[in-house]
Amino acid sequence: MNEHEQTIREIERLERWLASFPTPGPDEVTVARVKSAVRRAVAGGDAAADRMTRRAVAATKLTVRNEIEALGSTARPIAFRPWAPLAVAAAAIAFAFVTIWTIPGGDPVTDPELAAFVEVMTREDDAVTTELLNLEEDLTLLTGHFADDGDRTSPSLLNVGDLLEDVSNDVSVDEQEI
Amino acid sequence: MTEQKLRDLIRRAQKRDADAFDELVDHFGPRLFGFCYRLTGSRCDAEDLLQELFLRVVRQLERYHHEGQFEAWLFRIATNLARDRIRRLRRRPEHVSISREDDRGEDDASSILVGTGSEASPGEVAERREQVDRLQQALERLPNAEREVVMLRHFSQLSFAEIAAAMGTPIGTALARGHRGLLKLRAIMEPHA
Repeated sequence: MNEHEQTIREIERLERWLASFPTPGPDEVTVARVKSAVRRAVAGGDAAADRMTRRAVAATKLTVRNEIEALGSTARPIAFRPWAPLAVAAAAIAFAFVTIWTIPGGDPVTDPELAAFVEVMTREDDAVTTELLNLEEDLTLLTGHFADDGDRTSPSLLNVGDLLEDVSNDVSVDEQEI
Repeated sequence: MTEQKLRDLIRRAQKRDADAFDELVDHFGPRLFGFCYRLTGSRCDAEDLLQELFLRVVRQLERYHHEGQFEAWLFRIATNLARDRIRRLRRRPEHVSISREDDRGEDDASSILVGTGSEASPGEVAERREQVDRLQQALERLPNAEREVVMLRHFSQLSFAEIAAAMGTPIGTALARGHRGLLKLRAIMEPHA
């Protein structure tokens, strides 16, 4: 038996050991609740979800704008922002990318993975995605400001962050690789 | 469930047949719940994630093209949802562990044990509850990547090759993570074995 086969055997043995433990499962109430929610969603269709997303974006936008206005004249010069190094790094990467991309005589995008990357990087975002990106940028600015001042992040901002994640996940979670 | 039966169920669900969704919940729900519970360490979170997961399935199923990877698709959504939930919990200062003591009442623990019916004595229920908690604490000591592979293998019927494909890693990496995770898990649970 070679090493690979030995590893497989050991994994199988350990998996049998793990299977001997009690398995957590949902109770009947949970299953009924899930089924009920699914039935409501099936009956309501995607329109309800779309409306919820739009409302969430609108509420988020309002909260972020209010926070920005509340900051008022306390804003600092960009050079002192904690995210400034990140912006510089992103710009450098973008510059390098464009430079490599435009090397004369180069064979443009023969690598499928690179082509996919380019497609994602150069694709125009739809309106909702653009709005989310803008909001996330605003949030970064705000949380950076609070952190810079040694303040606790505003609870409303935490809620906004969660809301943004919910909206973002709604769009992308099932499309991500695990 | 046979492949043909699953294919029919998916086709019916894609036509928004609520009964077909019920069957999908019945068939996949328990394992997906267990998976979410083991990744988050919380019954409440697992319940929420299970519902969230199936709502996403309702929204996304029309775009799903079945090529025998439905289970991998479901568990990939579950993994991403659980990751997001864990990340959110860890961002909050009051949560230092993915398990929360207030989520582990006696009723909670006994209600999540599959096969714990009225025939089980209070002593047996307590013993099983203790095993569930010990295993959960041990799982939390594993790196995320190892815990995910071990739990994917445990709750899904995916092969290492399918897990590797879903995770975008070489099969050797998935095997190594599963092997290391299981070895660590046993060493934590049975240090003198």
